[in-house]
Amino acid sequence: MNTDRVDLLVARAKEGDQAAFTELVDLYGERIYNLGLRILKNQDDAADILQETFTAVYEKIGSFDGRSNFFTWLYRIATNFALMKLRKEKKTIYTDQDMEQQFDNPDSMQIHEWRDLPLQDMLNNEFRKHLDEAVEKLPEIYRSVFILRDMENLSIRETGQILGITESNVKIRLKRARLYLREDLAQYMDEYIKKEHT
Amino acid sequence: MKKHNKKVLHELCNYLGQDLNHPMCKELIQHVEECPEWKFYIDTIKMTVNIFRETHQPQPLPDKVKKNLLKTLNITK
Repeated sequence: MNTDRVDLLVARAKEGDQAAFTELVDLYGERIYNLGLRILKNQDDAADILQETFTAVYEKIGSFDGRSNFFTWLYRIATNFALMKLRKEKKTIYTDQDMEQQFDNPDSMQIHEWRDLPLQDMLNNEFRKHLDEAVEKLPEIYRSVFILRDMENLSIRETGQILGITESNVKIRLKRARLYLREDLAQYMDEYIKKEHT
Repeated sequence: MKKHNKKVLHELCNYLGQDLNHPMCKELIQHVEECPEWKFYIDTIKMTVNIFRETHQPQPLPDKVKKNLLKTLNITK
């Protein structure tokens, strides 16, 4: 993304230029929609997040001071809306303490043999559903880091800025999220292997 | 560390959630080179992330959703 172009669009949008704002929607609308989808797993909810985010940006863009870049600011607003919606609807299965106990103790981890599995054959709706459920089991603080860093492919710095946490915290949470998901996948793979051999 | 160039090392440390120069990271890199179990461990973390990325590719923004947004904002394109 050309940052000079974005800066120009933001400056024009601040002056009330609707065409410039529309171009910002064109540039970032799809990413915000997908962010909503990844956090909330529902197309209607993702559409709501898109609406809420750009409505808030439209109303507040005059006060955007440029201390962070526009992309980070936009993502922070969208993430906050999505997480607020999640908090209203979600029941957390694992607590943060569970995660710490499970993943700060290497002895509790098991290494499973699943590298040679036919992954392409497994990439079906059932597998995807299982993956979604695994992410849903993550406490919010780990889920948000995993989605922003690993699925949205943002940098550790950007992830920290959007969530308002330090880069060290991003790394710690990311490690725990990845380990949890890896272990969950490994168990799924084990069951898959057992089914294939019976 | 003879087998790894800087990019690979950086990626490895990134997957461990640490900086490249972190002492723990350096030590782990050495372990990974010498220990097949650790290599397997790192590979499965990488695979986990890749599987999630592959199964959750971005979807196009539906036209209807975008039109509704612009309508809400009272913007006519």
